Amino acid sequence: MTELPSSGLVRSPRRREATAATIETAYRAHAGEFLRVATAIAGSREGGRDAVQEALTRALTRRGTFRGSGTVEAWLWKAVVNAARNVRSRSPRVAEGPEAGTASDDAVDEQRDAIRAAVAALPERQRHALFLRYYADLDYAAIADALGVRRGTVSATLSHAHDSLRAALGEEVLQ
Amino acid sequence: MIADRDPIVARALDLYLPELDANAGALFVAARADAAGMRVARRRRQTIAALAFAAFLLLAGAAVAAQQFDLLPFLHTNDRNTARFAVSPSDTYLGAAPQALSCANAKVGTFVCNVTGTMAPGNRTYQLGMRVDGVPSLTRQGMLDSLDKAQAGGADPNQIARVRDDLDKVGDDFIRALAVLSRIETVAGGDGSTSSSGAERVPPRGVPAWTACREVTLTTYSCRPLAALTGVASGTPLYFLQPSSDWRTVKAPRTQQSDFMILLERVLGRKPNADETRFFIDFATVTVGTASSSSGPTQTQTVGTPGPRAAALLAPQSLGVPTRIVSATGRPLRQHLPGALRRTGTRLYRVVFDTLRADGVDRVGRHTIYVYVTRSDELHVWSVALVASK
Repeated sequence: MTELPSSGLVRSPRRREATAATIETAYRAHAGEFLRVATAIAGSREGGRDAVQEALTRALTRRGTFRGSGTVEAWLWKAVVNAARNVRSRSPRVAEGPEAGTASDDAVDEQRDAIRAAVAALPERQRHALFLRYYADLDYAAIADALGVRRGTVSATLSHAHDSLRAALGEEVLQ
Repeated sequence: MIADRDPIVARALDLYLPELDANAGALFVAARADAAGMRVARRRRQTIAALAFAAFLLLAGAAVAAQQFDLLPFLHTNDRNTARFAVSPSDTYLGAAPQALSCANAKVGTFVCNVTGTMAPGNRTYQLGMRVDGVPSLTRQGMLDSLDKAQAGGADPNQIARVRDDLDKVGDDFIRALAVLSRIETVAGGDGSTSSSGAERVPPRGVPAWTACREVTLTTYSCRPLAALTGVASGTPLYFLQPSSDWRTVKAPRTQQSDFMILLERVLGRKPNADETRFFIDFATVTVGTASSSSGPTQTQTVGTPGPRAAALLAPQSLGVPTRIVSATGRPLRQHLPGALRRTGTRLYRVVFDTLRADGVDRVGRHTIYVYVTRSDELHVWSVALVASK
């Protein structure tokens, strides 16, 4: 089993405490990724925005709880994932998968529907691990931190998710 | 072994959710404003707890000790177009207040608005209604000072002496209750289209009718729903939502019976006694002159009060018949003001009251009037300038 390189995750010097400035810097460096993962987990764009705002608010008000054992960015990822899960649980009737973006042709709509169904069929942990790996480009260690699981679990979870998605979608769906 | 990034999965996930425009600045500004609000609220709760405990030790009136500082129970209304809030006795906002704001994400919690320029589709527009007035300091000594001022300003010395006597008869708990009440304000908005069947148009669920906003940058404002908000700094600009096609028609809530007296009783923890009722009316109606502002449909007497709402509450008394106030809610000033009123230092209130006895002109029952009150800079009091029927 190959460990993924630490790609995409900016390893800032370890700090003893998180300040408003370090939180803002960590957030702004990956704002798009935070929002995309939060949206995917929460199930809607509105929910994604709420989750990111909620996570930042918690980080700013509870920055004293940051223990300095990892990066501020990793700490933020955990907050965003938790907030997005909370948003999702508060909106039980939300449609599976985020709403489509712009209007498109029928073929693309069919493709999206198939993908949505396949992703929705995955267990929650597999879905979240995929979002963090592909939308945020996090490595195993960072995904493990964000999801609160062991590093080895991430590896196995992603492997299962890949197999399931490939089997569900196949080459023809993605032509 | 797994591949670094499976191309099929990557393609599928890109189609599942394309990249998003984060608008990072707006989200962080909103979060920072939320965080600041939470810290202030936490500090306030701690202060309130300390004050309440001290009051409990010092006073026999346990009801007052328990309730006088916790305003939240008094700030909820069942009218979606109305917001009741509490003014901070110490904080002042000195920032700008543009005439209108455009808000992409108006909702519960803090959200970010921009000074209107080109309207983006789907944005909500909020119009400046008013700025929050400062809260008068209501203490026994402060009231005595006000009476001195009123006497120096030409008030009847006999009346002043009587009010002084009455002041001696009321307890400190009553004065504290008045001080709490003086911090509570109510404003009403909506599109004004309450039908005869009792239906009214209200904003979509979750979209606030009124917001309190603060300047963040030259063009960006951080806003919060005004309903049940505490600690609103004096000077804070208040904005009301412009109606749009997605407003809903709902049954208008019944007007609550005498909300002013209900609030007074709840804050006080009991019914005010006769001395207290007389003192309140006497103090609020210390005459500082007689009417010269009679351009409205109703002749009014000029009375001076420490706050604009108190002045509006007294307007029905000019009818000369016994009345019972039901409510007094602030309204945005209209574009064109009647008479010679100037926008600066003028407030508009919608006052609902019951007349308890007919006088040949006004029937017994419920009435609604619109009261313009203005501030006298020389005497530091608010008085009724004009009363209109609509």
